[in-house]
Amino acid sequence: MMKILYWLLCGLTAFLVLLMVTAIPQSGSTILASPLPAMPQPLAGGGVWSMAGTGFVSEDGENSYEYQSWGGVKLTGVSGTSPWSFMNSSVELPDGATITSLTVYYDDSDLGADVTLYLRRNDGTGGYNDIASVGSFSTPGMGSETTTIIITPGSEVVDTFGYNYTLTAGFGSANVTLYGAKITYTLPVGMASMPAPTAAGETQALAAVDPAVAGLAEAEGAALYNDGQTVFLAPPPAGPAGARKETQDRAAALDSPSSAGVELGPLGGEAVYGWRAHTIAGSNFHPLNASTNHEWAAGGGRCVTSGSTWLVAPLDLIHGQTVHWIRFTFLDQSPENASMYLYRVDRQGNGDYPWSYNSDVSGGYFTTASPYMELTIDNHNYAYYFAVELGSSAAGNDLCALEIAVIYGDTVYLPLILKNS
Amino acid sequence: MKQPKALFVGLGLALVAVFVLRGRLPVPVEAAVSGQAGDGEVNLQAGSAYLFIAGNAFVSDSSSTQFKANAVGGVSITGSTDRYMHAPILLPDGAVIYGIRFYYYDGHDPGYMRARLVRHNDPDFGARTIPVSIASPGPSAGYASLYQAAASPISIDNTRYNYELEVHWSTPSLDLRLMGVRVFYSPPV
Repeated sequence: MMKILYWLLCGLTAFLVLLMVTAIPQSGSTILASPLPAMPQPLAGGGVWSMAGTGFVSEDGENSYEYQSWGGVKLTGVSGTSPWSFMNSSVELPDGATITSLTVYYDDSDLGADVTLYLRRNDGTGGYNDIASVGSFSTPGMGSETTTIIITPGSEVVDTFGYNYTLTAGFGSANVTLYGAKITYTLPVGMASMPAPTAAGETQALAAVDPAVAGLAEAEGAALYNDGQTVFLAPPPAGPAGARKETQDRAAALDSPSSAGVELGPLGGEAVYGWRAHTIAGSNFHPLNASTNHEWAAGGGRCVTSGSTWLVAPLDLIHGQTVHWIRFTFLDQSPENASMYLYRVDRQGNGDYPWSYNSDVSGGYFTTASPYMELTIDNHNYAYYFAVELGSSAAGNDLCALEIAVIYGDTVYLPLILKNS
Repeated sequence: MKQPKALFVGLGLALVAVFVLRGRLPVPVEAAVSGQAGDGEVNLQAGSAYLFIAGNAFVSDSSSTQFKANAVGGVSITGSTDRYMHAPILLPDGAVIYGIRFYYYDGHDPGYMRARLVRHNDPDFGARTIPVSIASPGPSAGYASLYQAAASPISIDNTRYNYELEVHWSTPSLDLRLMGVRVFYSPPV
């Protein structure tokens, strides 16, 4: 009997020791040898996804739609004879997550009609399930409605192998505006969790950088470089560091080792760890208004040929990640200028621009980079998108958006749509 | 000599518990789950991941492209000579793409659609590589899907490149529908 108890005790001890040792959560890949900054507090093992109304694309190339201030969109062609028209958005959530709520943000000035969101999963062969639906059913004016009702039980568990996920916005009137959507979810046990939501305008504190890490940004590849004082997109200038070259010819910046790099920002006192880039081709932008005539351009760009000159693309980062730099690449062979704005909107008709840029250069391809920033993505309170204005009047194929890259710190490591890991 | 046995039992239990807690128990590979064996999609290992983009989330190539989405994630091009649509592949740096599965409805003969994974090369804009290209077979097949593996795994480097999916319609038709594209990849470690 004593032997049995002894064996059990030995086994239990080994079990507990190994469990504690191996169950330490894995962090994301990092380029630093120094300890990572303290992780923000988890949000009860869950996360939040956010999208502005401007992130939705029309279901029909002939529908008329219009941008409304700070991230809203309305379908202007909806009439009594065709009372419903739709816009769609892709939804990308972590595999295995459980959807817990869906919120619509709107401005509804039509007592007889609504804007309604449908969260749907599609199997790619015509089969689908509605997961949740909510609309501007009860409150006129600017507002939001949230549902926690799962229409098809079981469909709330995200399965990115079997399904794609979409949000469809149905517009019952030309007098209803969609300002955005929010989805909350929980994560399976063992998956990384999200940081706590931040209050509006608050940013997460980051640890100071360890001097020993100077130069380690090179590990990210030749396109990123830091000399211990400044971070560059290319090898540093031959002369003294610090002379800002906000915009310069991208070929010269990246092709010639002897040329000056594009300065991204200072390192001093800021944490630089686990950098990743999130890159959107210009061809994935869509027009802000239906009146825009636009064209695909070689190199994955998009140009505006007539009409409204604004293009837009959502910035879909994980809640809690921190944006450090934004890199904008464009073709400018026109006397007109290219402007770029990062919008942060509260989906209630308010917002700001954490960074904007206006080009006054001309003569080829250019890349510009923002100053260093610490913009913590807060999907609870905001949605984010990029808007590009290609001239005050259309410049045709002489002024095109090529690419926007966001370089962010992986304070949160949660691989999107991770299966079997 | 029996105490070590107990230790082994304990260690075994701990390993099982850890694997269960962390979701790392081996699971059936994709072919076994989907019944889609035989088209090269069987090499995926545990730890692989999926990015599944609906057709109706793609954006048109130009304002002259006439298109119509449906309620189950699909989209058709209904007019124009500019018959392309695009969607970004937003995966983290270090992820590795193995291939794509193209979901379509082909009710048109001889029309077809072609899906491509495109990498735009930086800094040489204008140049691009197409590591994966896959076309619907032509004669009408209704709803179907096809998988195409990349010739070699594609390691995501968002600093130097951007990546997208591009789908082309050979002819405008409501009977040619892009239902979605699923990207198979392993996440960064």
